[in-house]
Amino acid sequence: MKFLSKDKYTRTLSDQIIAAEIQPDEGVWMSIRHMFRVNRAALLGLILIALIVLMAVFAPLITRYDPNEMDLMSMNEPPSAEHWFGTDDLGQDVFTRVVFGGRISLMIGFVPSLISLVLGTALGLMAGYMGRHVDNVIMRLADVVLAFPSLLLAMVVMYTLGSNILNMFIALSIINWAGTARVVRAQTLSLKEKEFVEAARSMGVSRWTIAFRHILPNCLPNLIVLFTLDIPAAIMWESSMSFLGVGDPNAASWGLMVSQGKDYAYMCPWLILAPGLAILFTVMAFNFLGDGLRDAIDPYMKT
Amino acid sequence: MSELLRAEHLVKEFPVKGGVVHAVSDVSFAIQEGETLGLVGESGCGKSTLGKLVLDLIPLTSGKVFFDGRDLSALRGEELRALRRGMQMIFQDPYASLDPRMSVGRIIMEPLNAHHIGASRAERADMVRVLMEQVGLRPEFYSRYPHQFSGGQRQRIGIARALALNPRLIICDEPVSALDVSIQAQILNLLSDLQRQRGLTYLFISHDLNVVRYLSDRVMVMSLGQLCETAPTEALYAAPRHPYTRFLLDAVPQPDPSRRNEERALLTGEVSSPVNPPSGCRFHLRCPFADERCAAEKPELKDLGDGRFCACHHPLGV
Ligand SMILES: Nc1ncnc2c1ncn2[C@@H]1O[C@H](COP(=O)(O)OP(=O)(O)OP(=O)(O)O)[C@@H](O)[C@H]1O
Ligand code: SF4
Ligand SMILES: [Mg+2]
Repeated sequence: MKFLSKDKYTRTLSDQIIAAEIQPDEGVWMSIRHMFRVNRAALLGLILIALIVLMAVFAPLITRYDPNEMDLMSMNEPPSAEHWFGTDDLGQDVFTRVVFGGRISLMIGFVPSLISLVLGTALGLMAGYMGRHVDNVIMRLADVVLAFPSLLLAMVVMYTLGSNILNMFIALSIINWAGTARVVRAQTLSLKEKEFVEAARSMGVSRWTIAFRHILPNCLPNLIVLFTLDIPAAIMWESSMSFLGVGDPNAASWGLMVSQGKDYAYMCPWLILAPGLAILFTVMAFNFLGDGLRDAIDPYMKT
Repeated sequence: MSELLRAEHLVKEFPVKGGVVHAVSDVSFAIQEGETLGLVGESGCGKSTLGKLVLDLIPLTSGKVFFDGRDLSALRGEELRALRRGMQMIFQDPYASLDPRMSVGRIIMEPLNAHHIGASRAERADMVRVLMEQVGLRPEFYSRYPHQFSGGQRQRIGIARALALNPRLIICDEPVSALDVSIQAQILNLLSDLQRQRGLTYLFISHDLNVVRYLSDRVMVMSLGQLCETAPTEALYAAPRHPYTRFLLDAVPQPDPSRRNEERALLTGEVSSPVNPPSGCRFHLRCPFADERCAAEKPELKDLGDGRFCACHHPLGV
């Protein structure tokens, strides 16, 4: 499994767009549908994601335990019919905690990715469309963000703002918007030279109508790919930070579970195996889907 | 006939690395209401640039455009928009000029939306269907996307869009050069029918002399950003006055075999570049009639009578 460097990916993508290698391709939705038929990994990813999301949404229906219910009579028990993934040092059911932890980990995947999608798109569009000073300021800022090691930057933000889940959203949004902005800017620069934009101008269509009706819709396929790849990245960042102790200590994400289980790893491996595998499967599923979508919209990776 | 468009001393220079592209240098002309003025010239001579200058799509370096007697550069805001509604453009590339993410109906409706025409969306949709019918597209195709159409059909979409605002002048920038020859005639006939029905005025741009001849009342010949010759169509094709026009006509495949062996050696050698063009007449380095005067003095467009104008010190056949 390859973990994508967003900096590298967005840089290559932007360069290709600017070099006009990637044209707006009207057949995108068709080729995505085709991709799912051919690319089994992407389809598997999509199904897995659907299952994981359903599991998180319907968590209380899936398990009969409460995630915070302690049972001091059964602490650190290995997996059994009673406790599928065993219990932890407080006698809490690990399966239940993984199911409920999915809510938090998915939220940590989705929310900052959505924020950086909106923010990155708005800023990238402004930079590419308005040019000059606006472009300079926004893109220099993006370069600075992308030049920093992401994990370090996010940790600095968490240290500064404090360890809670809201600040986690902020930290992850800060490290993620820049790549999106870079791609949207490149695409905007290329699209605004297109003849259909010139045609719209010749008919008296206003600047911002052109931006929203022509440029944005043509950026959409790339944005979907970026969003899909941002989610697993955010889940990984959060897990790493929780493991390193700068996560929200009260938000029982999978990352925090691994971190709390690591002291018992030798005696009770299920404490880290269960949430660890949950992270692995989720991240893999999103990456499979994102890779498939990217291949489908990138004419140069199509076979 | 009254004058619909007048262009006075249009100049467009593009600054580029290592110099300035003189895309359009001091071009003046007028178009009468209801006529078709052809504009021919080789690729890169500035035809599209000239069309865009007339439409105010790109800013002029200098010069003035009058539409319906009013100076475009003197107008601002809503007034300018209202006047510009009367001029529309049909683009060369039927693929690049339609947004791949918009349905045909939305593409044709876009100008109606921009100018708030029609009381409701339903009314605008009806107008779009009428337009589709007028250009020979089936109104059932309203919700289809451009990639589901052939090149010729796409160009019809572009024509319907240009007609939507009921313009008086349409600038046709090589509307058929991207199409198969068999389709070209259909589109040219459509343009000609529409002109008759609606009393349209065309500025018809092409590098293909046969296409220009088919539609135009008068023809302007352009090279390296300047006009060489303007004349009524048949007179121009029968007896070109400018050596460059003669060269262009000779380069067209000659259907009459008895004329194929005629001397065609006019204008040999390198085409001069629009970046830092030569002094005097821009052809003097490769024109067989060139003399010292041609090298020193730039020929102005002179009236030769019978509606003919020619920018040459030694016009042919005079
Ligand atoms: N934005 C621009 N920047 C720099 N140079 C330009 C620009 N637009 C056009 N040019 C140059 O101006 C000249 C005229 O271009 P234009 O597109 O008007 O030619 P054309 O006659 O329409 O050619 P074609 O038959 O290829 O459409 C060309 O040399 C072109 O390279
Ligand atoms: S002015 Fe002189 S060089 Fe130019 S076209 Fe006429 S004869 Fe040739
Ligand atoms: Mg052109």
